[in-house]
Formats: sequence, C-alpha cells, structure tokens
Amino acid sequence: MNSVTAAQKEKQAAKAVSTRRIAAEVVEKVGVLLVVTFLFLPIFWIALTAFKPASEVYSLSVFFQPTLENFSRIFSSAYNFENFYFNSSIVVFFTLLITLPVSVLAAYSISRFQMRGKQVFMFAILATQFIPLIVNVIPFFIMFRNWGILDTTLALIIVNLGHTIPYAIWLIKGFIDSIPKDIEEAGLIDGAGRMKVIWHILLPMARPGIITATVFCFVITWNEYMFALILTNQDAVTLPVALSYFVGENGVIWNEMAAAGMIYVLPTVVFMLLVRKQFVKGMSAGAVK
Amino acid sequence: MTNKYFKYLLLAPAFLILGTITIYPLIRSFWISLHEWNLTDSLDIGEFVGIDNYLQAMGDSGFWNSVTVTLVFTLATVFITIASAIAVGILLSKEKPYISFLRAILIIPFALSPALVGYSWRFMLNPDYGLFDRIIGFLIPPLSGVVMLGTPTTALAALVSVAVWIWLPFISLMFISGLMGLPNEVYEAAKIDGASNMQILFKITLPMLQPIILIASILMTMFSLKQFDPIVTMTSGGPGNSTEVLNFLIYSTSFRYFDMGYGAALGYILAIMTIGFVLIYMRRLVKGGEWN
Repeated sequence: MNSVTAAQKEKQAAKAVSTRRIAAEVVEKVGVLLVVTFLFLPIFWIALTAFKPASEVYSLSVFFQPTLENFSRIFSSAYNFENFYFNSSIVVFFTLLITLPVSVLAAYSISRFQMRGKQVFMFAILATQFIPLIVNVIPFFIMFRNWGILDTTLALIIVNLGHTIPYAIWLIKGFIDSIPKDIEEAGLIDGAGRMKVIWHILLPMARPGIITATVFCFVITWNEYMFALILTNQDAVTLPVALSYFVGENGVIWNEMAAAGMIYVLPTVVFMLLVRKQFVKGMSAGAVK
Repeated sequence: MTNKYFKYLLLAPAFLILGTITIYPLIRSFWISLHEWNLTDSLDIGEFVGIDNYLQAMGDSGFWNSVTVTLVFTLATVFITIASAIAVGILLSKEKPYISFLRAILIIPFALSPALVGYSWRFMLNPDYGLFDRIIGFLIPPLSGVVMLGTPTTALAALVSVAVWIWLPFISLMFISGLMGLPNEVYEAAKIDGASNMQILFKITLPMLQPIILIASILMTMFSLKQFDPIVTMTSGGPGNSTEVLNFLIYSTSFRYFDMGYGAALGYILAIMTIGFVLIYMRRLVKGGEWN
C-alpha cells in the first residue's frame, strides 16, 4: 500500500514539474514573440510600404503587386535624393577621417603615460557629452553665419567632431588599456621609434576597438539630425533632414518616404551587424570604466 | 624626442579640437545667456542683463510646462526601458539557436535614424490607415476612436514608446552580456536548495545586475533628457505644447523665434538638470562601491 502511494506521489510530483516546465516554455515563447513583434513589426511595415504602389499605401493589405517605382522616384529629378546621400557621405567621411587619428593618438597617450590632470581630462570630455548639444549650437549658428559657412558640409563636420571625438577616445582607450605594454616595450628596445611602434604594433592590436569606434561614430554622424536641421537649409542638407521633403501639402507621401528611409538606413544597419559583438563589448566596457 | 613632450604632443590635437569645438562654445553660450539678444532685431549681441533671462524662465509657464513634460517623459522612458530590458535580457540570454539569432539582429533598431523612426510612428499611428492605431484599437477598445497623436496623454505615451523602442535593444544587449557573464553555479545551487523562479530573480539575478542597472540608468537618463529627433518628426511638440520637452523648447525659442539670449539660458538650465541627475547616480555608484 505504502509503496503504491509513494509511487503515485512521485508521479504527481513529476507531472507538476513537467506542467511547470511547459508553462515556463510557453511564457518564454510568448515573451520572445512579443519582443520580436514590438521591435521588428515597425521595420517590417516600413520595408513593406517601400514596395507598395501609391494606391495600396492607405490600406493594411500585405498582398499587393510589389513595385520598385518608389525607389526610382526618389532618385528622379523630383527629389534628387542622391544629392543628400552625397552630402551625408561627405560629412561622415571627413568627420571620421579627422576623428580617428586624433582619438587614437589621444587615447594612446592617456592610456600609456602618467600625466597630471589626466583623470580630469577624461571626466571633462565625458561631461561635455552630458551637456545638451543644443547649448553649443546657438553660438555655432552665430559664428558660422558671421563666417559665411552656414549651409555647408564644412559646418556640419566641425560640429560633429565635438560629438564623435569624446566617444572615440573613451572607446579606444578602453581597448588600449587591455593590450599589454610589454610588446611595445620590446619594440622600443629593438630601436623602433614611438610612432613606428604605434603604427606597426599597437594599431593592429587595437583594431577591434578602432573598428567599434568607427562604426559608433559612423552611426551617430549618419543619423545626426539636430545640427543638420539648424545649420543647413538647401545646399548641405543631409539625409535625415531630406526626409521632410516627403511631407507635402496634401500630407505625407509615405511609400516614397519609406523607400527613401530604407536606402537611408542601409549602410548603418549593415555596418552595425558586421561589428555587433565587438560593439556591445566595447560599449559596455567603456561605460563600466 | 623624450617622452615628456611626446605624450602631450599626442594629446594636443584632441585637446585643441575639443577646446575650440566644445569648451569655447559652452562659455560663449553662457555669455549669450546673460544678454538680451533677439536675432530678428539685431545681428549684434544686445544689452547685458545679468541673470534676467534665468529669472524670466522662472515666471514662464511655457518653461514649467516643458520641465514637467521633460521629467514625466524621462522618468517613464528610463523606468520602462530598464524594466523591459531586464525582461528581454533574461529571455534572450539562453543558449538556443533561434535565440542567438535574435541576439544577432537585436541591434538593428539602434542603428536606425531616430528622425526616421519618428516619421514611421506618425505613419503607423495615423487614425485612418495606421497599423499601430488598428492594433491598439483592437487590444484596448476604449482607445479605438482616439487620435493617438491628437490628445496630450496619448501623444506623450507615443513619444515614450518611440524612445523605449530606440533604446531597448541597446540596453537589453548590456543586460544580456551581463547575464551571460554571471556564474552558472549560483543558479544551480539555488535550484538545488529549492528556490522558486521569483526568489532567484529578486535575490540573485537583480542584485548581481545592479551595477549594470545603474550604468544603464545613467545612460538612459542622459539620452532621454536630450531626446530631440523623433519629437520634431513625430509631434513637433504638439498637440498644443503637451510634448514640448525642454530640448524642443530651446530649439523653438532659439531657431524659430530667434531669441538667442533666452534660448541659451534655457539650455544652461537643461544642462544643470542633466548634471544634477548624473551627480545623484554617481553618488550611488560611488557609495555602492561599484565604481571600478
């Protein structure tokens, strides 16, 4: 008798455990589904809209004859979207071209040498990022107007640098900190100059950090909206500001804006996916330090 | 060349650029904030008025409205993002093939332009043909007739949802890397001791995540206080001024009404608010001994 109830109890307990496991499994699946829906449904919907003919935009239908017309429209003389693509590319290219060498050298110096006020400097550049950027735009607007460089890509490059260099220094310094000094010292003993050591030994080893910083600065510059909105109005307009051209008198031309949006976000999404792992590691390490 | 000068030489370009591009305008901006200066009246800086612009803000109901909107927006965004990011982190830190695929594409929303996201939300919340509008109406019937961007509360809620959408992936990834770094033995020991899932969550997981929670809160607070792009493209501060966060008020004061003096003063007030928040977190960080 006794042994039977014990066996039954065990069976019941096992059953309870398995129902609990199934319940946990269901909760997990539903949770994941919710997350995926929340994060990716908007992207999916915009991507879908980019291929819709104008007649289908105002319906929720998923089945329609896909068309590439929206894409050819945005590059036609109606919008000349390639001009804004060009402006954005120029701004990003020169911002990165200046940011990276400057930040690598500064990060190396801060990481490797004892200096008075080093901590203060690191904290100060972090603090500049706490301050809302709009505070800086006000004097810049006036200066640029006086110098006659409002509405030029040069103006955008200048203001972006104040944004990218602090982040790049923090990110790259974190990586250089983790590279052992011995290897460089061996190079120095062999008689190579400091610059040679930086170029031939340090740079290859710090590459993951530099790539992370590059992608991060690329994304923030490519997506930068406030400076472009305030400092440009015609010649130097970049992609995010150009999106407003799809807002017409009779409302927004959503299918064309969606197509433009897809073309616009393509580079950042691709680059971000390529360096995703290092990026997350680098960002959280930088933040903790 | 000796190390003595070399190290400063390496630092010099960064020092010069940041000095001229961030420090100088900051000081200049403060100087402007002490003056009366409307760009439509004069191209030259006006009369020195001391702290009058700051005093003007204290008596300006538009300013106080913006402070309230900013605080509500920031607190809601930070809290919802962190709480959801912990949940997402727990969900997505398991070792399963489809979950590791999700982790790989999780960063995508973070790479999208916030300005574009703002427009997209406007599209999807459209009362006539918006997908979100339809879904919300289906899930919460009382909201089915409401124009989402047309009433103050729903517009602010929409704004919070945009900010959460933008930052959730990145903050989740921070928690995922934290959770995957936690030692597995602790969990196994707790399970053997018969701890329930809830106990494990509150007694083990959350305390171990505390340093990341603090850092994520600092980042999120900074980002929320500065939020600008999706506000311009989605609500432009409306309806009325119900979504006019301080950053937007500064923008419209300075670049729509060209009141540079008052705009700069408002900018400094926002800067002081941000630094205040950061100091509060920093003190907790230092007190908790998590600063390594």
